[in-house]
Amino acid sequence: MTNSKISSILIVGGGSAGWLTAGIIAARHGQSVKISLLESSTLPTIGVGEGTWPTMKTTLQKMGISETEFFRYCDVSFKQGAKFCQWVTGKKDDFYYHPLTLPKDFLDINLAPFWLENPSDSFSNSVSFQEAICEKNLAPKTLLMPEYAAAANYAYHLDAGKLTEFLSQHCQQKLNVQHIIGTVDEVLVSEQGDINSVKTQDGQSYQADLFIDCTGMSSLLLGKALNTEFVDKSDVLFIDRAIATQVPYESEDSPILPYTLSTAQSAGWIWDIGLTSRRGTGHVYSSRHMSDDQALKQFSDYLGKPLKETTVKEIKIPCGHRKEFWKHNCVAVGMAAGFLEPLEASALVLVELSANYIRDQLPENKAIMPIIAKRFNQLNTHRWNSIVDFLKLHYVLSKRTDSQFWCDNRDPQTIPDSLQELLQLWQYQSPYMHDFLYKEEVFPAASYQYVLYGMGFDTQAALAMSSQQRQRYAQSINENKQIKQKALNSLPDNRTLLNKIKTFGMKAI
Amino acid sequence: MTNDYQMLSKTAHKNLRVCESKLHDLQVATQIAPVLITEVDRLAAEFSLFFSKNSQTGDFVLVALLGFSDNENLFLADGQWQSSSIPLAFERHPFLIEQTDGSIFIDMQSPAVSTTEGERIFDDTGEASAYLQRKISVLEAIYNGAEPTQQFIKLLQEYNLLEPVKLDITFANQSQQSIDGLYTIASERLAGLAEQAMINLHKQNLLQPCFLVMHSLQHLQALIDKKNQRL
Ligand SMILES: Cc1cc2nc3c(=O)[nH]c(=O)nc-3n(C[C@H](O)[C@H](O)[C@H](O)COP(=O)(O)OP(=O)(O)OC[C@H]3O[C@@H](n4cnc5c(N)ncnc54)[C@H](O)[C@@H]3O)c2cc1C
Repeated sequence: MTNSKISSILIVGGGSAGWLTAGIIAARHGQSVKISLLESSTLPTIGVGEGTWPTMKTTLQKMGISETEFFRYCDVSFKQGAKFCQWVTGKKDDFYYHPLTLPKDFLDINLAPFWLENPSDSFSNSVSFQEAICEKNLAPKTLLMPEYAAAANYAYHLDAGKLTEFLSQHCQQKLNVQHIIGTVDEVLVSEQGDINSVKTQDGQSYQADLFIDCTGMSSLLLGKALNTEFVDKSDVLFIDRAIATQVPYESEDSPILPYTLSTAQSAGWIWDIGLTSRRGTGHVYSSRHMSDDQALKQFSDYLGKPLKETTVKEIKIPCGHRKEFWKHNCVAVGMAAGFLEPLEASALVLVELSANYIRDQLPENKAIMPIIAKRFNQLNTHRWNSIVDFLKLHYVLSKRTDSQFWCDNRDPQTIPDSLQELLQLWQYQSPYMHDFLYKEEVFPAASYQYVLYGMGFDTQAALAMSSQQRQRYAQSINENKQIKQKALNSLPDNRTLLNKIKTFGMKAI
Repeated sequence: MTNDYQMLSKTAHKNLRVCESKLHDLQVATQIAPVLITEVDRLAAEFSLFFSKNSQTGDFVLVALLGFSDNENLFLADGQWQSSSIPLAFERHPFLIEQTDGSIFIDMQSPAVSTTEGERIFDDTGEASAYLQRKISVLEAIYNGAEPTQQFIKLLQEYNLLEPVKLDITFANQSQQSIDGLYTIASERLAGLAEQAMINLHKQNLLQPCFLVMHSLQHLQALIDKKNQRL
């Protein structure tokens, strides 16, 4: 490997991962590094993945995208968190929220131990105002607020197909990304293990200093060409199938839910995401615990209309990730790196985090690439493991006994040691900032609190609390009540605001 | 307050009268008033001018700040204007001009409109009275000023010359108030504007209004003083 600068990057694959990565890197390096994206016109993108994290706001903003144009093009709606129904007891009225707004004053005070002493209202309702506005289908901002500004933190629901079109246009027109059409059928690897070039079916060959594998589940470069081992996690997380379908709204003014609805079933769960144009829904389940027929039946029952196999899209979903994510001059982003069930919409946020890292650490010269690769691998191994733990937590805390799926999920054999350790810790102290080792954790401590206490986990906080601390707690809780009231009075109905954004747009300032 | 605007008709509204002194509650109840670019010369001498967003559309409008809370108009005392001129927006009532085709409407719900009190709007021959003619000239000025005002704001946005201002005010009795949602001209960005854009503003006579709007912020202290006197 020579001591030369990295002057060209080839991204292979034009799904959400490919175009997000292209945009994120090109917004910084588009003028100094040649960035190209090669994608097949015959192999489809996965076409699902419609819920994001709030990180997407910054990601789009940094690419220089107008939020109004994004809303209009991709049928975007607001996502203020997830509402989990029937996850704890399975009864009709069983639900809790994982909102995107941090608990009140989270960076100054951990309210959880105080709330645990006297949990009169739900945890999320006590420490945040977002559950209340979600229950009323309100938007997280007003029309007068600038683009990307929020009264309540939000992420997006979006049309996955339109997202790639939208990003593709932006990347080509504004960010100097070169778009190449072609289906790769051969990857040429040097003796040292670097990728020299990729060849397409039409006989063209493309070289680059750095290859980014965004080929989705096929993991063509990192997985196939460089033979990187797949670390299977299906002994922890059982979901391995998805059936998805799009549902029209009943009428033009049916409410658009400002959160992702996740309803547990007997061997999986159903997602329900409201865009401005339609709902996107799907049933993910464990084929070891439920037959495809049963899954279809439960999905039909949920939607209140009979579904046929032909009207749903079937996807076999892997569970796990590559052992290394960056090997020689090839790094994988998106499903080429791995995939876990979409329970907390962790896939796109991981794409953003990975692409940010590549952008920030883009090796000044090729000699230091192995060091950067090593660090990237350490960080990502940690990230994937903590996502596995966090997703598993949702199943471990369930009290459902109505099927083998739920019981198997609580079998200690299936719970990673790292999670068992955390659960032990949390018996005596609630998750807070110091529990987490990395600055950029995918899920912050607040998320763990919302899930733990939303699902009824009991932490026996034994620390004595001073009267000043108690006062401070009472003050935060009270202020949250006031903010809640104000938000309920001032925020507009979600669909109403989304319609206005279509008509009038939001201003940049 | 509800409105019932009807297109003004020589026959249907033949006998109507307008009592201007009954219009005042409309004026009291407002903290900001829309301003046209054609009025900036005149109004910037007394009022602080800003931009704010229309609550229905989010579009920017040019406004004069009249008070510090929702329904406060500090330029009025005992129903009388204390300023030497007032925004045209106040003079139009109880009439309205349609921006699309210039047709004129009258608000039948206005407390100032009756058949018994005030100035007649049509004379015995059915022609517009001198009073109505004065009103029509106000309405025409509004009609003619609307488009250039929008053009002005559009250019300011295009050249990225608007920036938010937050007013944090402490009144004489130590009470504090902050006002959000106001925007002004970004003076540094204006100074650093590319030559072509600068020339463009200048040629369209829009440079002077920019400086007047910035300069008008100095009246803020006078407005605070007005409020202090009432505390
Ligand atoms: C059921 C389900 C629900 C999901 N829900 C969410 C969610 O709510 N939130 C979230 O963040 N994520 C979600 N995801 C994950 C999300 O969909 C993906 O992470 C995201 O779409 C990125 O996919 P990708 O770009 O890696 O792969 P793909 O979309 O599969 O794109 C692969 C690209 O590679 C190209 N390609 C493949 N082979 C070749 C070749 N030989 N030559 C040239 N080009 C090639 C294809 O043409 C395509 O452009 C979900 C996934 C599933 C399965």
